[in-house]
Amino acid sequence: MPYIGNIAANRFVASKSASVFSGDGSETQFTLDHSVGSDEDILVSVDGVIQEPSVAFSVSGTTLTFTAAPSNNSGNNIFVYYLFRTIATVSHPSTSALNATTGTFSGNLTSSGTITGNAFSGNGAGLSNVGITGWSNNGSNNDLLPANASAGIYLGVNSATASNLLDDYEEGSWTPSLSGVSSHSVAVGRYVKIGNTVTAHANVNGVVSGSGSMTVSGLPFSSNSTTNMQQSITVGFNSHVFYSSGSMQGVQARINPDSSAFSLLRYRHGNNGDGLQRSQQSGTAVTILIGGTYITD
Amino acid sequence: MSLTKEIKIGKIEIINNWSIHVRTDTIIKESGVEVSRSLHRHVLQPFASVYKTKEADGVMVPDLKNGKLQWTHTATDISKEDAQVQAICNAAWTDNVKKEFKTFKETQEAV
Repeated sequence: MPYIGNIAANRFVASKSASVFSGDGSETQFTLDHSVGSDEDILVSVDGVIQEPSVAFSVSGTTLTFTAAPSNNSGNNIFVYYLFRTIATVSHPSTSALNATTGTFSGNLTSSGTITGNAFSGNGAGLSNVGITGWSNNGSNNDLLPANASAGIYLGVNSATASNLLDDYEEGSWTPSLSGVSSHSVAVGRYVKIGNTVTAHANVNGVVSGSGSMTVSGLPFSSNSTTNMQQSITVGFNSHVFYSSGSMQGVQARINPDSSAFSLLRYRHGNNGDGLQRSQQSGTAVTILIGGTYITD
Repeated sequence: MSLTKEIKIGKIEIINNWSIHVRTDTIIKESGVEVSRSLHRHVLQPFASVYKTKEADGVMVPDLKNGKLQWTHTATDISKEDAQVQAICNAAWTDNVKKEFKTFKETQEAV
């Protein structure tokens, strides 16, 4: 009687349950007929001797690797019996989100997107290429580098407050210039600016001529411009300054508001400080060493 | 491998209308790649402002005229500054700004 459809199968064939190979005394790797998941998933015999998994051999997928090359005895002297075969592997669909309560990774966790979380911890090696928005780790230097030069860090607050923003740091040099000196023997200065605070140090030396008060100009930043906000900076050392003028006891320095120079003043007992005069040079040249901090705008 | 030295204006900032903050960068490059950068700063203001003083009993005091300080405002020479800096100074230091600067300086405490 005619029928529609395939002819019914009358024979079912199972896949091979064993593979055989011939050793040659040098080859250590052989390709299995089936993929297996671990060394214990196969039974291996060489010259009739059962081999110990993970010691005499190892397996990765369909690659069987012997620790020592099997002998070249004639015929098929290597037998592999499949105890558990890898039928299929399961992978997470690449287009689907992975949701889990916890996760442990023995290798690297790599993302081309954004990794977010409440806290990150490490083993001391640190996080690499951490992409805080707008900041990078400056390549191999691992310095935190903002994309925007005016970016900073708020300290001591949990809301954006301008007066708590630290957004400037700079180190550099400046050239002090003593008034009345046409050619300085020494004029060297260094500064560090943190926020709006400038720490400046300098050594200036030269032959003073002419008349009038002595000032040192060339500060790296102008001072705060608030009216009556005079600031002081320390004259830590002075040399060849004639002191026997009035009741002079020392040399001080004052920076007026919005100024890049400071006046050298005579400190007097029971009197106002007044301007140190160029005529008070005693000796070949005046030396002034100054150092201190002042506030900018 | 070749070392080159480049000096350029790194930053020009105008503070309070008249103070021009200039940062000069010295850059050392090795085969075109920057290996070091040092910074130098100076400030330019439209005038160097001083008032006249005189000595009285060994103390320098302001030399007043009609009860007022006698100020001298000497214009700052910017001819040796970088062209960019000169352009900024000339643009920022308008006649009105110069007038404001003089007024500001003359309100500061006398010594």
